[in-house]
Amino acid sequence: MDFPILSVLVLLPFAAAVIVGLLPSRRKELYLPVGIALSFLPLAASIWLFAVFKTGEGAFQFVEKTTWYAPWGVSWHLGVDGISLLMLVLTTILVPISLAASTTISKRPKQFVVFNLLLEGGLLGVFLSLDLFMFFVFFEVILVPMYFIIGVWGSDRRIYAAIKFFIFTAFGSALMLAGIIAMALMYGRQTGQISFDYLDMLNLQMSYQTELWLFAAFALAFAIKVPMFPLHTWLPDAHVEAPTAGSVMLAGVLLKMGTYGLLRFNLMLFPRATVDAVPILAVLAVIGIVYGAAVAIVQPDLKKLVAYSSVSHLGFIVLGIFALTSQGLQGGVVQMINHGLSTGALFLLVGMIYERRHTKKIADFGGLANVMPLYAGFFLFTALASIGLPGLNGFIGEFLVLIGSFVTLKWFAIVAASGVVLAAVYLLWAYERVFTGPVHNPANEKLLDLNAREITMLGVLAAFMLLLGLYPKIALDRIAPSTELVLDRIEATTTYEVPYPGRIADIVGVSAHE
Amino acid sequence: MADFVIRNIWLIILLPAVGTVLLHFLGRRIGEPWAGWIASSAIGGSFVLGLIAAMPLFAGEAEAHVVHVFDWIPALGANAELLWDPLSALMVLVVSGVGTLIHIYAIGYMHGDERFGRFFTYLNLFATSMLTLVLANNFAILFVGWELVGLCSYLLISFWFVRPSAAAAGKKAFIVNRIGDFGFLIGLMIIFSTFGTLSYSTVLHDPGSLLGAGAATAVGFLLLVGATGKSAQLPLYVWLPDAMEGPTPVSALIHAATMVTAGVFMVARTSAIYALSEPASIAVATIGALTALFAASIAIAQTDIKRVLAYSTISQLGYMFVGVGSAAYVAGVFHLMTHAFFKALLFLGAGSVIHGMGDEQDITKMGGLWSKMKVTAWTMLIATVAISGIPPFAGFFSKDEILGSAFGRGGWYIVLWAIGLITAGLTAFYMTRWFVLVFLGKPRWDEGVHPHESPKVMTVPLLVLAILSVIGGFVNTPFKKGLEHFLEPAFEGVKLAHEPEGALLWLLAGVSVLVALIGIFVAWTMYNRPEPTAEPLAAKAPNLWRRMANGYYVDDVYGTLIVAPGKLLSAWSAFVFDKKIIDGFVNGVGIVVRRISAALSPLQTGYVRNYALVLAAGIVGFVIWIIGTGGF
Amino acid sequence: MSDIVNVSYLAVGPEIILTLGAVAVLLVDVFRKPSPRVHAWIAGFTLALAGVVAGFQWTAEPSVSFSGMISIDRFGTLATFIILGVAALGLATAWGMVERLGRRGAESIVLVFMAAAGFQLMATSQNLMMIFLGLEIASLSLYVLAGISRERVQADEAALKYFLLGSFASAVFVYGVALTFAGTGHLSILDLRQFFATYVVLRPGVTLAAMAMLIIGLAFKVSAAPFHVWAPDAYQGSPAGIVGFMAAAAKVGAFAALARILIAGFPFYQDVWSDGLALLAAISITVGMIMAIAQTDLRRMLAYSSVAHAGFILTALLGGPGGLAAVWFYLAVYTVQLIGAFAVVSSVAGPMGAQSPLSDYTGLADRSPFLAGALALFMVAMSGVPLTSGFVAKFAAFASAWAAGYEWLVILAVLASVAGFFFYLRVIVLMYMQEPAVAEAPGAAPARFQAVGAVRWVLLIAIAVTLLFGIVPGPLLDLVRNALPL
Repeated sequence: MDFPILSVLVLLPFAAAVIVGLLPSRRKELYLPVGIALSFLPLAASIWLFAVFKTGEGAFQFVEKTTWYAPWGVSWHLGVDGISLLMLVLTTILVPISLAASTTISKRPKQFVVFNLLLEGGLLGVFLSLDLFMFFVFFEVILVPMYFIIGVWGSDRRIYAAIKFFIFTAFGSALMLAGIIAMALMYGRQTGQISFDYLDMLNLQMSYQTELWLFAAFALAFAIKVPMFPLHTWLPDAHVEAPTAGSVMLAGVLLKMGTYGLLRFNLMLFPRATVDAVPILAVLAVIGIVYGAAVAIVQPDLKKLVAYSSVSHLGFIVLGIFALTSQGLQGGVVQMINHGLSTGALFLLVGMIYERRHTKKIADFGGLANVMPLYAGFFLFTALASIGLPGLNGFIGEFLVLIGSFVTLKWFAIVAASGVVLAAVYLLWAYERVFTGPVHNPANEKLLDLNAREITMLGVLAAFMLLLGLYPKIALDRIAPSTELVLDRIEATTTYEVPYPGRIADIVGVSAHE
Repeated sequence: MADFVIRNIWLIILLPAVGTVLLHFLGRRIGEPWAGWIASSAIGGSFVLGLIAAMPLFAGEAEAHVVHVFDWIPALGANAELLWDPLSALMVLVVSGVGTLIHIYAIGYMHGDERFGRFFTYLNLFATSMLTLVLANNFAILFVGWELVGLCSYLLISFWFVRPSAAAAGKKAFIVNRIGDFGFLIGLMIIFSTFGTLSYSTVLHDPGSLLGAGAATAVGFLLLVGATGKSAQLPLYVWLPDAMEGPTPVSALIHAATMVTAGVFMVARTSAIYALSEPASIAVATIGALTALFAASIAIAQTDIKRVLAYSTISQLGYMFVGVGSAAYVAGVFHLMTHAFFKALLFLGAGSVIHGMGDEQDITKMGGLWSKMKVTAWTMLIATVAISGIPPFAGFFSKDEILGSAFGRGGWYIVLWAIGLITAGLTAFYMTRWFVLVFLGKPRWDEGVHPHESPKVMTVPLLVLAILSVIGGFVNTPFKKGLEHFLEPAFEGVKLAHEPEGALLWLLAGVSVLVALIGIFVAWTMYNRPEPTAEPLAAKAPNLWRRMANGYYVDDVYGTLIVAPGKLLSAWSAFVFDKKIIDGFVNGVGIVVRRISAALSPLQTGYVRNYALVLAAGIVGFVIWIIGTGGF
Repeated sequence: MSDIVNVSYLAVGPEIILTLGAVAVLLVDVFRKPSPRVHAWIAGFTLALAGVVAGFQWTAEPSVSFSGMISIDRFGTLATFIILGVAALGLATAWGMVERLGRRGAESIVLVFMAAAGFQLMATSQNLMMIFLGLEIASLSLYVLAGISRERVQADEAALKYFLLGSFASAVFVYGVALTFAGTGHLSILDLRQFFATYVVLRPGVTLAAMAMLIIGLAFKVSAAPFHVWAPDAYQGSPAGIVGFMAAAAKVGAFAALARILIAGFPFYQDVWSDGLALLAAISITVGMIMAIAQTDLRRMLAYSSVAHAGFILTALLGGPGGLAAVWFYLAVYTVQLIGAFAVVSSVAGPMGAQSPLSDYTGLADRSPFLAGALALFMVAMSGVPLTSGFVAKFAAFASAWAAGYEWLVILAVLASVAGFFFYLRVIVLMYMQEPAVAEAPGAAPARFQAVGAVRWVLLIAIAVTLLFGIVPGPLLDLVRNALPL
């Protein structure tokens, strides 16, 4: 058997958490540096994976399968395809950064690092699991570290936010658990052996009615995670109260568990229901896009503004996924990465100013570009990435999603496009109020600009935003074969056919090269 | 040599891009004036490369070259591909040529600004973006350039961000442009879903085979929405007057000569689609004509030296729309070019005046500068004459070709021609007013103002542009249609409109010259007096004048009709719907559960007799249930 | 059944050893000054020896002895194992109380042993009267344990209530036994099954009433709603050190008896009793979860939570023989969590403590990180978060019920689990996320609590079990999979 790189990748953060946990409590100063250093190991592993991943192949690679508990048909089944590959890279990049953004954490620093590492392990597990039981375990266990991160290290209303976060998401996954059990038992009845294996589930026979129910159970879990309108109200609270690292991971990766789940499970396992549920999901996605943006406009709190912008952006992802076209799916996946990078960076930025001023109220600022030009520059750059400026990453995703969804969901795409306008409204208006004009608040006069650590963190993210914007092919080449498989399956199992030109194959071979 | 450049046409974009990156990281260290010279040579280099690459085209070669640079978004058929044809060549030369002059001018104008290096970073970024826009071979790359020039516009308008008005103006420009882009995007969606690609090579090559008339009209209208945003036409023009908050070289480069013409360029580029739809073309031309008249009427009553020019720009862009909307694409692009010369010149001259007057912008506080700023004054005189449409200056030929072509199409276009003619008179009027108030008459300066001529680095570009404004029109005259022959290959397969020939041509030209002369004359008599009092027209029609001076209060109307209700709706969503209704429901569930729990707690009284009662009830109930389900 | 009366001492070996151990403790106590150390040795040795004997049972052929009264089967042996483990952990937790009680410390050890022996009998008996006997032995021991601390009025009150209500339930159970005999003429479980297999009961009313009453008697012991009313007061009033044992051992013994009676004795009425159990499960889960939310005392909260857990275990039992593995797994891991939680409670409230207001736990994480961490883990496990044994247990229970066709109950149960997060998380909130109330006198730091002596080990074991079987449930699941009744 080959080197079990994926298992190692999943287990590394857990091992790192144990190591940090064992550090002597006298050496408080070591926790964070050691944690950051250790979090580079999964990063290295995922980058290596990215490099050796075979592009042009849609199927799972580096598959590992070990029985976990045979009578239940539960196995430790890992595999990576183009979709999960990018999620791995995103996760492993954001963890060191979010840790590095946590130098001001003074309360129980060891636990903080440990929880962050546990969170990373759980997230990697979610993206790599090819077993429904295993997936659920990781999907659910992530709640605990995140709950602590919000509840212990958050701001004033942290407890309310933490519990709300936990209950909301647990509520969704509860029904999914019932669905998973039902599927495994159904498979057992059909084949004589219960199985939770994802690949087995693809062969599950079920009535249309059952499929609808199961689709609903899974979709609810993921829709809460995404979060889709009207299930989103946990998100602003969680974001506003969470410490910077928590917000970064929450927006950067945790929300993607929802969209990833929709793509990986709902589309693949319940294709007939998917095709029929498109209108519902699309309506909610589009409402989310417009509503999230509209609500973001008037938020007085910078962090809340970014949080609502996430509702809007995630709507694009869901719309792209349920457009059921190559472009939409590719755009959805790319947008998952983009949102992780840009919103992650925005939360970092908000955190940086909060550390300096202990306020996130937009009204408390003004003219910051005078005193913190670098900070202003990074903020603007990130905001532009977030509102989908071409040349930066956000555009690639939004453009693919909009055009891809127009092919099948004409009017939805048109309404969704207005989100592009609103995004400019809320971010640039916020930028105007925070950064431009004269400094009218004396408390802002002596603010220090970014230091080397902060520049490094933001610089890395900015570099990725630029790279993905200018040369998205490195991502698209890996994503496309896997998303094509999704459509292949849907077309093969339903009467749905992707209308022209929604498949890659429809694209006109472009121009004569000189 | 030319072949090499054409094959590597991306070098034209690369040069200013390199300049951008270099200045971004080292701009502060390089400092004044070298940062400016680096930026200028970057775009100057692009101009030279453009000239080299255009040589075969000048020589009459008609073949278009497509250069594939790299794969970008394969799933949309949108790769990094550039197109080198006469139209893009002309645009490259205008953009980089005028751009270079303005870059150089800015070295002088921005002297002493503490963010000197940053200014040139943005300028070079703009050049990069604009060149991308004009060189694109697909709609996606076009859109990249389209958005990036918008960004540069935003950055440069709010360059002096300490002024809240500048910051607000930048934001306004970006957002209004985005509204236009909304339509543009939807247009692209239709294009993609029809053709399965965004590449010009497929889409613009006989689009009629796939695109029905209705769809073509839809696309035409949607692209027009985008164009009205970028080119500041009705109803999305509102950002451009405010954009004058930016440094004057920016106004010259972006908000007069190049970026704002992108809409015109785009319509010309997609002429194959507009050719399929008469309604869309009429819409373009009508919007253009209405904008031209509307903006010109506002320009009459402005007192800010740059605002006059801003409304004038809007008005002139309207002309170009009339041109491209009448299928007189060559005429439209021709006017785009000549306008670039004389309007850039006007803005640079205005900048020179502002510079010399110590940042004074109010023309009612100027006058008598003729003797103080000789070069500026002379060049402005040339520009004024050129824009007024007096032969043989550049503006005459291009404007007349547009009007003539519109007239030639007949029908509704005659009305547009008439509007254009009236506008020509107004143009001559307000430009003369502008010139007279600034340069002639007695000084009305504030105390402590000592006007002086600008340094060489500023005046030399003025002179170059002045020369171009004089001779620029000769590239395409009724006698020798040089530009038309040059551009025609770019409009292959599209039926172009032409000026009428023979006597009618002369008659039309005569009428428009006459109208221009009347405009000049009226303005001259009204304003060229030794002691100009209040506005003569304001006294006669105070209400109308006030409305014109305030741009017909369009900003206020938008504010009341769109912005305020929008904010109200947003606030309602955020603070009532989200907080009270959705979250209220969620919290309500929690509260109800807790209430139930609390309400039931007292049942646990601690009294054994109560417990026994519960037990007994439970026992009886359960036994009955079991017997009930199992049988008695 | 053979004509020769089969007598197998092995079948009652653990119970005999526990009894002898109890006697030994008493004798030592009579002849020497009360010496906790010696008691500890004797107790440990007794439990270990009983465990070894139970190990022999595990490998022995299944058989019935004492005229069909007692069986050797893995079902009973597994229960014995768990009860012994619970007794060991429970005693260790209560050791502080044992020491504090002085002379009566020995009594408490004896009572624990007798209770354990009684519950084991319940699990291994094949005869309803024997089961009743075991039930009474165990119950009486627990009543006394509940009131063992004579210093406090609450303890007496708790003990008295527990006794009164318990007697009530015992009466119902014994009535059920009598009705069973009346309806079928049999008291042996195996005979009952034989009877139903042979004869058709035209008017099953009496038999069903009997079955219902048997269920009710045991449902009282497992604290399933609506027969749970005694639990909160008893949990709250009894000495903190011993509550964990009382609750855990009773659940194991009573569930074992319930499972054996229904699965082995009434398999032909499975449709009827499983619907009945489903009803009880639904009520228990709902009532337990809802009532727990408003509690302000940790012990009362745990009491209601245990009501809900009884409901979950009933859910598992709906699967019939196929669901037994889930029942066992649940019992094994839940009892450990419960004792672990009470180990923390007794560390905070003191071994004799009667009150455990939640406010005591505010900011515990800063004062006593180990205790807080342990309690947090148990809370997380009880709420059913993955990678803890609590999740696997719930999962197995739900799968069992789903397979048996009780989809509605599973959906109710998963939703109730979400409601459960409310109160489980609240404990974590208090410990980790809130600052302790500022002490009145300046400088008076809030009390720090330590897990002393054996309690530390109890907690470590409970933590290990909770995590280990959460991550690698396979071995335990394999172990319990074949523990079917004869």
